[in-house]
Amino acid sequence: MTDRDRPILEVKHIKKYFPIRDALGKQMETVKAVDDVSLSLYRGKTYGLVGESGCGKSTLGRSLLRLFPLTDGEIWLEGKNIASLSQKALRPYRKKMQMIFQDPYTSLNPRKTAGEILEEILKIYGERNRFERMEKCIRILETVGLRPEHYYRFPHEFSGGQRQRIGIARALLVNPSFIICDEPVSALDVSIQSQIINLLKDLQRENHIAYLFVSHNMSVVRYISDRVGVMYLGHLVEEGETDELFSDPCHPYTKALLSAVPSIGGKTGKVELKGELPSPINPPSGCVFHTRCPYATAECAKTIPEFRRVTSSHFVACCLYGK
Amino acid sequence: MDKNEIVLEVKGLSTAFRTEKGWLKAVDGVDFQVKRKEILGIVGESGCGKSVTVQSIMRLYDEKRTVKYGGEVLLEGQNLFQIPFKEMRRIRGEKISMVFQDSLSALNPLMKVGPQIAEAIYIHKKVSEKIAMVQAMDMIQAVGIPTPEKRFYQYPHELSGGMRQRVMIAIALACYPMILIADEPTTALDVTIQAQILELMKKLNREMDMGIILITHDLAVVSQTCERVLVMYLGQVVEEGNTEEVFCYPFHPYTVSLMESIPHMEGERNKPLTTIKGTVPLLNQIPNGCRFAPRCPKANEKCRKESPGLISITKGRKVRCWYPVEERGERT
Amino acid sequence: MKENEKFQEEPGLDHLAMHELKIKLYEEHKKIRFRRLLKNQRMIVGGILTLIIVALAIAAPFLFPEGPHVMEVSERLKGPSETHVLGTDLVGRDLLCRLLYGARVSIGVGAAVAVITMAAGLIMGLYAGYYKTADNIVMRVCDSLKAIPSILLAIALLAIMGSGIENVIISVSIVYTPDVARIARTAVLSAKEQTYIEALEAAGAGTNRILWLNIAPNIISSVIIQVSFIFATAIVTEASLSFLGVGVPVPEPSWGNIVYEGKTVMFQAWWLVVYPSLFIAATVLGLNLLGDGLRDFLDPQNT
Repeated sequence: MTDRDRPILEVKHIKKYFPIRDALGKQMETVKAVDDVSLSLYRGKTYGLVGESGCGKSTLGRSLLRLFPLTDGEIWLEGKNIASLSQKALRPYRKKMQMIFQDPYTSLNPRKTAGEILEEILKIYGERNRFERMEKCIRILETVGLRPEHYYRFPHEFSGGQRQRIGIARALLVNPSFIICDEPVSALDVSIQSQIINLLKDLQRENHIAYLFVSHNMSVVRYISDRVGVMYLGHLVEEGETDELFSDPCHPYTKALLSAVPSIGGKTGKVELKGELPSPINPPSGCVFHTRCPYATAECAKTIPEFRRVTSSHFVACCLYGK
Repeated sequence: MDKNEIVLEVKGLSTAFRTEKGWLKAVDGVDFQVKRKEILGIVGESGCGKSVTVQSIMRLYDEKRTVKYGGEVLLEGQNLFQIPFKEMRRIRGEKISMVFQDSLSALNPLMKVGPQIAEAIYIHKKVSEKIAMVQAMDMIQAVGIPTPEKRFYQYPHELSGGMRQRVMIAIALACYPMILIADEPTTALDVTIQAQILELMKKLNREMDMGIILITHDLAVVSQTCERVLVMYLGQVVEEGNTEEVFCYPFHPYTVSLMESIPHMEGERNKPLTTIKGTVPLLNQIPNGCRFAPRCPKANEKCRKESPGLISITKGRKVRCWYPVEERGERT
Repeated sequence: MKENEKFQEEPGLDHLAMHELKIKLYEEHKKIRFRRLLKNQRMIVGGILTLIIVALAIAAPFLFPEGPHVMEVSERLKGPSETHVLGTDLVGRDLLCRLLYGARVSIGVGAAVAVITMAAGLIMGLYAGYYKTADNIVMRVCDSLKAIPSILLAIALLAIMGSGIENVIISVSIVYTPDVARIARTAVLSAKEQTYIEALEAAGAGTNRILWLNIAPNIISSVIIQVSFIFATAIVTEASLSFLGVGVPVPEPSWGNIVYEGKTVMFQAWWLVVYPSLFIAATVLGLNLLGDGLRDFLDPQNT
């Protein structure tokens, strides 16, 4: 196996449960936000993660950055399991992983100029020379399509798209090997959205960054991703190469999700999902999707489905697949 | 009753706001009609004036100080800009009602949802509270909320986003209005829920005698829900027509660019997306000539100097451009 | 747009060009900031007003080298005249002289209290807002302090420590710190939920960097407003304490005890109440304007 084929980041059986405590601090229930998810990110490739709100896709993205302690699982980055490292030991690895946020309005400190926001990151990683910092920031502003004079502008002087560019610049500044993109375009207008998507793609081509692209927008995920995972209630229910997954969805949830996406000129799909996402506090037994699944049988309520192979790169977690 | 009867007619609507930089026209000369039993879509990016247009129809702005309206809004022939404000309050909710994007902040958090619907009924119709409650229950069933008896006595925060949006629709429909204005009703919702809500709106439009104005930035939503569509840019209508035709054969370069800049569910995905250069200009920096000229790939001197009018091209199709796109048959 | 194209044409700016660019940008930035300062009328007016009063307080020993205690019993309760610009008090001391010396005490107490409450309140508020455990402890302490009427608490503290200017400052600061802490905490609670804080956490920023360099600048405006009120209130509180005999001992002039002394003869000598009150009002006005202006100046969105 060459270096190129080895994943940059390998996530194995990751779990994140949030305890719900009563007033006295006694644990009442657990929210299983992410439940046993495994995936890998490769150099220069994009992994798209789709699902409805509340399915745990954002929590998964943040778990990979170790923004909170994990319940269980392993995260392998550069041959090291960072899942159990202390925050201090994690510091050197933080440089490798960056994040782009959804809301360009709250993700930039309103009291700081674009330059200060960017320099802050360099300061954190110990760049002491003021002029070096400033130079790096000016260059990165140009890389993301902004101008040097934007250095001293405050966030409110920028449009949404420009703010998102600053967010991207902030993530790029330290040459990360992967970036978690948490709905980076969903707060933007259509015409700006395409600018940002193109920018992300260009940057990936030039710097060979891996993206974990979290989004609820199917067509955007389809466009930008090389591989796609579909999440439902904390579980990965289907995973495959983009073209394969979109042309031949195997899980009933994926099918429903794809049919619900409106498209220009197309007609609304037939398999419309009934009801809404159940609460992750008491997720359904067996297959988590069986309460909304149009094909569910008695077996689905009992057995937790394993990942089955559809093709060498396409997997589905459904008891009914192949039957 | 005639299905094609025009219920709402907007003629030369303009809305100007007072700011530090003088009066700024957010909407400039918008004309359109809504027929009974029709869903009209208004699309555009943020800042194009689509929300201002409908909020002007409802006269929701402070008329004493900050806003100046122009033109006419005719509801069944009655000009809404000429009736007293008190009268307008009665018309809102009874004849025209509105559904907003953010259902959590649009509902009263301290009141159970059933009584909120009932309130909308007895404000407008002089019925007893009891009858209003009964009608509210009917309404909550009509918008397809499962276990209505239970939901009736729940607070907004106990409901999911999709449920709350249904409640909002129930409140808006409580008095059987002639016009329902839905301002980005599904933007905050997931695709599966969005499909449900859009389906519900289509169903209600068929069953109840009312025209719907659907405002959204999502072209695909319009394409699947509306019969006619207005494309707006910087306070003006740039293209108007039957939805299918507009999306098959767009005339205005803005419509073309918008359609090409969104990734699609089918087809090629390796070539870069078309982008529209720059951003929507601010209202105090409206360019001379055609408003889209600075961002238009085909603009020439004429476009930068003279502003085009909204001209009819074929039946029901209007476009505001000197050089309408004419590549017919390229798209399907 | 034109400049944009220029930079795209030459992506690799050489070192010298980069250096010049940096200098140019910085100069422009400074100019813009200065223009914003000039536009901020409230801050300028408030600043000038405060400066005048502070300057007068500092100049007191030069204007009246004989000190505030010189009595001319024959001249008692004389109205404003050429020899005594603002008149004289019950025992014939010059009112202007006493007011200027009093300003040293009053403004000194106010400023000291403002600085102490701001520092202590900010520290308490920041940590209470950021850490849940600290929150419970700090806020309960604040609650219990606020449960006692402020003047009673100040008297009780002074009764323990004994009177004197330093003790007045300490006790008044203790009384008002919870106000600042509470406001700072509330502001922190909403500021820390913003995504940019998460972005910093994701970048591996330490707690001190997040708290002091990123949250603090965002909450400082609400704190400044509160502190400018406290500055004014402290002057008045000091006056009340002096009047009750636990504050600044009597022969030493402070604006508070001048008013209280004058109160008994208010109907024969209006100037003994009106002028000190005017001084207090002018100071409070100046400080509040300054606070407001400072808040606007610190908020980049306010142009």
